[in-house]
Amino acid sequence: MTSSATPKLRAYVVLAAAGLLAALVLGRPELAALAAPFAASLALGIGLARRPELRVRYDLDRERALQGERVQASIEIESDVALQPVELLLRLPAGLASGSRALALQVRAGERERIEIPLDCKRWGGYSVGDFQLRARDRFGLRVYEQRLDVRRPLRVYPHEETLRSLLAPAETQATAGNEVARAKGDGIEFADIRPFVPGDRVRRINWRSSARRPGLWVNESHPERNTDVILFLDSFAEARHGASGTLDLAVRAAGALAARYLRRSDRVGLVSFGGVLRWLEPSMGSVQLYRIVDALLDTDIALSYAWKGADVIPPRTLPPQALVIGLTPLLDDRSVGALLDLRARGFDLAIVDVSPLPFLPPERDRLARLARRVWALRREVLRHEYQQLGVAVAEWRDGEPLEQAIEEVRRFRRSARAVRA
Amino acid sequence: MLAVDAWLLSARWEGTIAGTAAVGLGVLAVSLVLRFSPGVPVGLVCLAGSYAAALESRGVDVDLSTTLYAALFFLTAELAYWSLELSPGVQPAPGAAQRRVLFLALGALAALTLAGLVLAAALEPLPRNLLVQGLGVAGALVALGVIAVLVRRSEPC
Repeated sequence: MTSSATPKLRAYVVLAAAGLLAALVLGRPELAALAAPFAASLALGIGLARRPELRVRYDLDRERALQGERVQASIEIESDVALQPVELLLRLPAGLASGSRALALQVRAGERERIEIPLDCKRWGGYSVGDFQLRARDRFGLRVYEQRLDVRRPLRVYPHEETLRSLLAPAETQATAGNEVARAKGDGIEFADIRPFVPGDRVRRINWRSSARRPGLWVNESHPERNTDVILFLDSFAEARHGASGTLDLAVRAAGALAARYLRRSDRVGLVSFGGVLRWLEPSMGSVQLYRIVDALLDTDIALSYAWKGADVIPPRTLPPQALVIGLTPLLDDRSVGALLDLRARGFDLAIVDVSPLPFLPPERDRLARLARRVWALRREVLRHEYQQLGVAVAEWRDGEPLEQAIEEVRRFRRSARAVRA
Repeated sequence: MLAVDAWLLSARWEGTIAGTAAVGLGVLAVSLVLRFSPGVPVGLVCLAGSYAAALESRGVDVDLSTTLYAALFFLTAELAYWSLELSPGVQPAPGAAQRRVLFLALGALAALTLAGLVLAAALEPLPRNLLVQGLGVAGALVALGVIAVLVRRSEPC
């Protein structure tokens, strides 16, 4: 704990010295009487001052919270000497807010003082909270003691989950069992077709009604239930932001919701955070994978980078063959636009949710700005059209609209694209 | 109140005394508004200087009303530094203001008593010879020395 003299101590020294010297020079005892209280205050204050030993306990009432919730931070301070109000300044990371960042509390000698600070979780993310600056004065206010306390505790703030009733069905399924009805024929529940009986077919699969009307025996064919591999491609190169919300927040929210829904139906889900820092999670299934994905999403941030990155920097094991790649991107950076086109060229089943940056843009001030905005919007339209010409479904998703709407738009495009292909 | 007291007490140099007191008040007020702590002792020294000039202008032996002035002067200094200590934006501790007011009242009472004791000591008839004068000077210098040593000891370790 560092200790330093307050301006009051210096001023009292000046006043006491000036008063006593003036009393001597002018021969006026009244001036000594004026200086006496200051001299006595100094003597008492400095003589009785002791460097305080502070013991601080700090805790959060929970380590996980949802965006918009309130977390209570509690601080207990114990001192061996009485202190004038101890000022407590809490340095909060951006994304967390408190009504009052600086608080004062009276600390008596040997007694434990407790204070609660409510923290509002404004934005999702992984935080570590507990960087304090303590400042205390002695009883006479002559010395100030300062200490920086770094007693951080982790706090993970999860984004709101989007409600999704339907999901995108991939073009191809994987070999292992799941909940997705495969397009291929095999052992399953969903009826697909009938075919002539061949040796080795089970008797229970014979369709007796069809066999009665046709020569020979006919058996039922069905679609097997298989799982799918879904890769969530999160573009973290650039974002459009206005205040507390931005396109990355929306993309993270969507990624969390999609991951949870796909994992719930026994699919394997992987994550590629494609940006200044490349992060990836190989596809896997189960609730552990959901925790991994959510934790990875919380660490996602926009890292400024000028280095060119293409799809070839993504580890091949992260992108299994026949996987459905869902791109969550504001289509603002050429690198992610190029990487997605590259993935499509490599034959991946690609769908794009275009997290629209339009709601986060400042209003146009003049005609030129309006014109520039129109040109920019047209270029985005052209880009979406290019994707669609390659058979990639692109749906725009704006802040305030349900994700379900964008997913449904992608589904509709994929259905019609398949019909055209067929 | 301190400035008016100095002005009322003056028998000569009223303009100078009133001017010095007004400058002291002004400097003090501006320092408090701007939260400029080095200005506070300047304002207080100006106020005390006007009072000293007023005492000198009257030329009476010992003014006993100084005890009250000393208590008020000390209270003014304490209040000024209290207002500077209150950091803007800091949520105050519950009951802190009441405790501080009590502390200030006790401090003013102690200042009144101490100033009274000093003046009482000054009223004691002592032979005005060189030895007594020397003892007085030595006493004042020792007091200043003790303060200086204490302040030096309390510098950051």
